[in-house]
Amino acid sequence: MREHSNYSRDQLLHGVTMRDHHMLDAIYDESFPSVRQMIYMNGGSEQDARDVFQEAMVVLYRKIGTPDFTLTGSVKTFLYAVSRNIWLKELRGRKYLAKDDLVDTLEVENGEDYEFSLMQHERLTLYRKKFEELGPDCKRILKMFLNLIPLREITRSMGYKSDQYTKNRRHHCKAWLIRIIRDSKEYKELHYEQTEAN
Amino acid sequence: MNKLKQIDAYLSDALTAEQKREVEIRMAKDPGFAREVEMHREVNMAIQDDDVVEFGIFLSERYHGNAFERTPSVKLHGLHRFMRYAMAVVIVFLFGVSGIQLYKKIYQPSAFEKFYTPYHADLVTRSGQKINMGVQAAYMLYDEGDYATSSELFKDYLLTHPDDMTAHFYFGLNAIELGLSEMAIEELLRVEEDDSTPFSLHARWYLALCYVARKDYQKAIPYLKSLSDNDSVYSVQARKLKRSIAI
Repeated sequence: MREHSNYSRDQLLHGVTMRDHHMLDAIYDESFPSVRQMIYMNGGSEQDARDVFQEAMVVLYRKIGTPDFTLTGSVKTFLYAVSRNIWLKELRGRKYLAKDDLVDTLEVENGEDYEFSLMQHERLTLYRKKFEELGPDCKRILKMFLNLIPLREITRSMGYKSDQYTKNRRHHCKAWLIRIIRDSKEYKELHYEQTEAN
Repeated sequence: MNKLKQIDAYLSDALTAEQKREVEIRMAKDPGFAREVEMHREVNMAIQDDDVVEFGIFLSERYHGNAFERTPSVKLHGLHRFMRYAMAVVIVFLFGVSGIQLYKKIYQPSAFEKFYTPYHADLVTRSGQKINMGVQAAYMLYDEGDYATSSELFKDYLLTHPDDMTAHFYFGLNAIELGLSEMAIEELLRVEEDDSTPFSLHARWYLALCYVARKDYQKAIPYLKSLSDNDSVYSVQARKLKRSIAI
């Protein structure tokens, strides 16, 4: 499938993963104008459009990295639909309008679960934000476990006395992380929104 | 085993087949528990999401939040180069010699573009030296220009070898190529501060370039001064760069 002047969809997606300047420029050139137009027509500014589009690019990047990744439509449609959802949410937050009031500049085909991609992105962004609030030792130990570094190596690298202590420390860190996520206002809001969506 | 430990063990594939089945049966019967497992799975994903965070920073740095005001790439791309030549020809045709001067004035490349060249050196592994295959691949990929993959491998390697200054240096160089100047500065500062590494000198030069790219000349100048005051391989370039950014 050839969707931009020079590159196929697969080339563009590979380019996003590799942060290839040519491909990224091609995506911006092709996809940003319709998003900007949509945001202009729905009460947003140039800066809003840039922020929203960048967020949609990150959603795309994250989606490409998932093991069961498939994209049935074009990159342009994906970015437009995700940007649209981001902007809708922003407008609802500002209490400006209901869903049906939004003026579109591009027809979005059915089939792709754009809303799911965005909701998952929002959850992961919140989890990451809360992870960053942990102390440096907790962050390091959780990362090392997930990177499958051997337990003995983690104990040595952290300067702990025993493997058992390392395991306990890791569990405390994880439990603390889950707690600060659940206690956060953002989580409660997301949880509410997503229950509503289901 | 408490619930948290059970979920963690399940997600890291550390349960026996029977224990795993128990968890799966419970997930099927109890949607609340299934949601909790899913949440833990996503939390684990988020912890490992360094590349997503870096991608966001990369986009901000490259596009400055503006799709049509891009930060110039290190290398001139074909179309840009062609456009510049075409403009030069038109200007020369229209204005003659004064046109050339005007072109030079308008299209002067940034100081960073003029002075930056990627670092290349042959890394020799002596016989008998213990080789870490991951890091060897990372050096090779840097040399081949696959900066994103090289960067990933260095990141993993540095988790277990935080004192390897050579790896920090190359990790910093990858960050420059990927447009992540903040990360590059953080890595290069670490190398520059360690006098025992032969890369300390090179780190100072690339640090200066990073600051120049960010137009933070106050921070670049001390490095350029120290490089131009000695007989290092960078002394001539450092003097020229210092002159070119002098206000």
